[in-house]
Amino acid sequence: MGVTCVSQMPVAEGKSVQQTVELLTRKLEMLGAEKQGTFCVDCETYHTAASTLGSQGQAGKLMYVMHNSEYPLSCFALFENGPCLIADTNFDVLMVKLKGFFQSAKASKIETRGTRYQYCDFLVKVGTVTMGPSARGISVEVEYGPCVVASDCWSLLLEFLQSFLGSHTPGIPAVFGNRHDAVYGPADTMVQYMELFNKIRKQQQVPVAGIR
Amino acid sequence: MALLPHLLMTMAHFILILFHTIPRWKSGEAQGLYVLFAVGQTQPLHQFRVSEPCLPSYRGSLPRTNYISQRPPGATSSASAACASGSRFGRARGGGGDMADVLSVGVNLEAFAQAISAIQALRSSVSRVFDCLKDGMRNKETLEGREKAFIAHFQDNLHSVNRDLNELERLSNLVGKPSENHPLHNSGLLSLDPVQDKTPLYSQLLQAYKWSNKLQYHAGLASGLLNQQSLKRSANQMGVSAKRRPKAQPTTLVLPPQYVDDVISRIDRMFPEMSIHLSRPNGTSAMLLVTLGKVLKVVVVMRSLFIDRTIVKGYHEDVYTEDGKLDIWSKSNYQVFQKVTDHATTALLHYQLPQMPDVVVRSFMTWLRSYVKLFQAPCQRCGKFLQDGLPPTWRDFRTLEAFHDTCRQ
Ligand SMILES: [Zn+2]
Repeated sequence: MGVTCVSQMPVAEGKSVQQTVELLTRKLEMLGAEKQGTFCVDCETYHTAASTLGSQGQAGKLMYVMHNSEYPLSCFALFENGPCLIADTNFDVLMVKLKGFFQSAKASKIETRGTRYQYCDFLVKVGTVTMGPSARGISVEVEYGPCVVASDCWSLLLEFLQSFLGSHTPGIPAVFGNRHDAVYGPADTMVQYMELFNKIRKQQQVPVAGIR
Repeated sequence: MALLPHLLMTMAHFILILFHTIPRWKSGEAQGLYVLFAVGQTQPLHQFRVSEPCLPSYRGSLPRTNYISQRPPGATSSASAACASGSRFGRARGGGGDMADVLSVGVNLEAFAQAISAIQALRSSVSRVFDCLKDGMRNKETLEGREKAFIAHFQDNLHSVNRDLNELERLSNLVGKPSENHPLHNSGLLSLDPVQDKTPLYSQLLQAYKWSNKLQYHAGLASGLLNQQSLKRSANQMGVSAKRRPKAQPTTLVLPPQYVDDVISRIDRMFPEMSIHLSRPNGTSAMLLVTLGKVLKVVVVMRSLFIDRTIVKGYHEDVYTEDGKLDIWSKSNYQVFQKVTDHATTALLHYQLPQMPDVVVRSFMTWLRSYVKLFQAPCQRCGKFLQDGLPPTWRDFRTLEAFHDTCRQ
């Protein structure tokens, strides 16, 4: 597990999501990246049940339960700005039992699917973010395997991102700044995906082709 | 009976035990190292070496000892041939000086013969002491009488041990030192072994010695040349030109493990961001696990103080095999560390100073330490971080600056 940066690639003007993804993957292949299977990250939102809310007098907190095909035996449960729990996949079953406390938000499932590319020690995953039947945007994940400290290799990652994202290169992810020289972990990647999904959910009213 | 504990104490100080390394003790065959010491004491009372006096170089200049005459008649000719080649060799090696040196160290053969008989006397008197103890008290009319007779007998025996020992000590001073600086030391004695007629061990030994001597000479010349260059190099790089050592020590592969430990722990303390863990899973050869910041880990296989092999891996990669041993064979999964491994191997060849292996290890570690910025330092030539997907993996041996593999001069 290396340092990972997750970002959103805006859909090119006059193009569909599908076309933009193809454009991007062609660029990667030109660079020399090799196709290496597919990937999938999904996220389901739960909110605290009304019955428990009333008695405690707290604002409802959202919990996100996520899966990542890179860690097929794990399940991630996150709160916004809160702790991240890494559990076995059985956790999904547990969530069904906890129906009285956490209720699944209707039609909240969001996921991104796409192709993995390997370029030297970099792992690039370009995915189409979908909510229900419709494509909502494009996710770009870049992992640099050899390094474990995010702040050490940000400049290097940035240079690589620029090489195929051009002007759409993202800024430094918030999780990179959190802990100055701590070892980067899978949870940090999931937090980035959660933030990306939340951003895309808010954009859902905006017409797809018109972003930027 | 009250006397007995006192007696035992006295015994402890006087019983002498005689060791000899070669347990052949027939008449005249007495060679090896003798150590005499009192029971309960760690310091030997006396130590001396007895060697047979016919070394190749004595040929003709000293009377032959009876050992030669004991040999079967056919053996003498080959022995003298061996002796002859030995002396020829001696001359070729050191010139006149060595020869004179060897000849001047005489062995007083008469004293030698006396010393051998003194050893025999000492041995028998020591045996008598033990016999006396073994037999215990003789039957006498009174208990007191028994004790007295026993003590008197025991004392007599101890006195004779003491006397024989003193005599031996006196003689051992007269014997003189057998030539310690003979090129072949005691292996010269191999020429006297009758088995030699069947196995040409001794002549092979001489040949081997000749070769190794030549090799040493050439290696000395080569190291002199290499030395000059390396010193220049490390002086530029480390700024330690003032620290010239007075005299280079002879290069050796056999350094005590304690010394290696010391050198490594000193280096460990030198660099705070670098931690070195030393282990010896396979005998005396040390293996180091160097962890550099949170960047990389290096497995270093040492032979004495010479670095034999290094493997660079990622900080989060496994450096142990399934059975918990350091994995010295498998390479890193990442191209960047495979590249750094290649460069580290190049560095091993570059930092060579056979006379001062500890300086080599220190220079190598200093160079290795520059990789703490492996992902943070842009190339000093093209200014970029990446080239073909790899960061600048090369570090200049002198300036320690970062370069891409293809950007270095
Ligand atoms: Zn360069």
